Amino acid sequence: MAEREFLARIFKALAMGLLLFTVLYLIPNTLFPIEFYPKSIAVSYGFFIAVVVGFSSAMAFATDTIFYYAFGACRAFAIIFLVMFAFKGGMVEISMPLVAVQIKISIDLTVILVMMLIAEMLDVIKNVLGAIAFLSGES
Amino acid sequence: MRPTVRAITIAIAIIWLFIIATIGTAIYSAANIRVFLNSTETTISPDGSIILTVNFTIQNNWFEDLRNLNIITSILEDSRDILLSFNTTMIDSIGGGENITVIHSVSMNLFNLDNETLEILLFDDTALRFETSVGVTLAEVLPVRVGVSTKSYWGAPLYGFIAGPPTLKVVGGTNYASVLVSFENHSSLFPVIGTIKVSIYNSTGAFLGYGEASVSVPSYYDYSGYIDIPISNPAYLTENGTFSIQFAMNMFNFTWEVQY
Repeated sequence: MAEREFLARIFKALAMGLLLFTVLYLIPNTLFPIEFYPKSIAVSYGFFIAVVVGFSSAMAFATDTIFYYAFGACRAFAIIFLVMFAFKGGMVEISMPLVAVQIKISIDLTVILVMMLIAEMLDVIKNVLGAIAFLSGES
Repeated sequence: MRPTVRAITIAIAIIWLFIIATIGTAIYSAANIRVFLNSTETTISPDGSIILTVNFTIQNNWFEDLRNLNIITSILEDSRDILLSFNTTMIDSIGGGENITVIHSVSMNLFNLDNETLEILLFDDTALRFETSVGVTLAEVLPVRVGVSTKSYWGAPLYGFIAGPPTLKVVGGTNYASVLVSFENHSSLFPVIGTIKVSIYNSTGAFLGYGEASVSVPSYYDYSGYIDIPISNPAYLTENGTFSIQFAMNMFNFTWEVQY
């Protein structure tokens, strides 16, 4: 890999990371500050951003190599596990103690969880097929 | 292979769009619900039930229907988590742009409680926990439940109840075991009106006699009085024994055995 191409890939990875970090963290955090979220959600969201930004940057760095697809499949698996862990099987409960009352919000996100899992499983399949196509020289 | 990969990419994009649209619709739907509390009141029914009634209006300013709206209120004794009463109000749907007035009530009848629970409520100042939760299906697919838990002071109507020990007295040739009975009505909800019936048994378990007194004690007042129990043979009255005390009151019936 030529030095120039390596630098270009580094720049591309940084740009991708910065773009995703802005879209996924900076803009939402400006609109709805993350300090106001319950701690469990804030932590899961932080992991989600780290996974997406990290793997997407790695994918940008590894464009036109087999590792692009490997990172893509890994990102999809990581998001699957993260979503299952964060959603606790679909039931999300948030407790907010106020002065004299305890407020508890339960949301059944099973439908959303299933849709996310289907999307991520399709992403895994897409990356596997992409890797096969890459190895067969099709792309 | 490439058309397949492209098709999957499009499918993934559509699924994510659907996820974002569903979450967005649910958030906007929730943000367009307005709830106005009209009134709350606590009443005592003729059958002795304490009824808490909440009257409120729900405004659905979103264009979609709100489905499966249900309100559940439970009353629990706080320190021991004993369920005292609960009630559910169901509303099938509130159409887009509609208002609906809901009257939700929960009643607690001391006559229906078991003796162990009633003993706690009658003699101990404690706290009641009101757990109200409202469930609704947003965006047709997201069931959401919001629960609120509050505590309220429960004043015992027979707080500090004391009976005995019996003292012997003779009036007009008749022997009486005179029993001092006292308590404080800490309940803010109801007066204690009715009859206290006392049966006395000696240390061998032999029944000695029975007496009763009518009481009428308003909230936050105390009562102290003697109940004279005629006994046939004062020799049977022992230093230790048992009182069987029956409270036949406007709000509760309770029988209690206590050593003296």
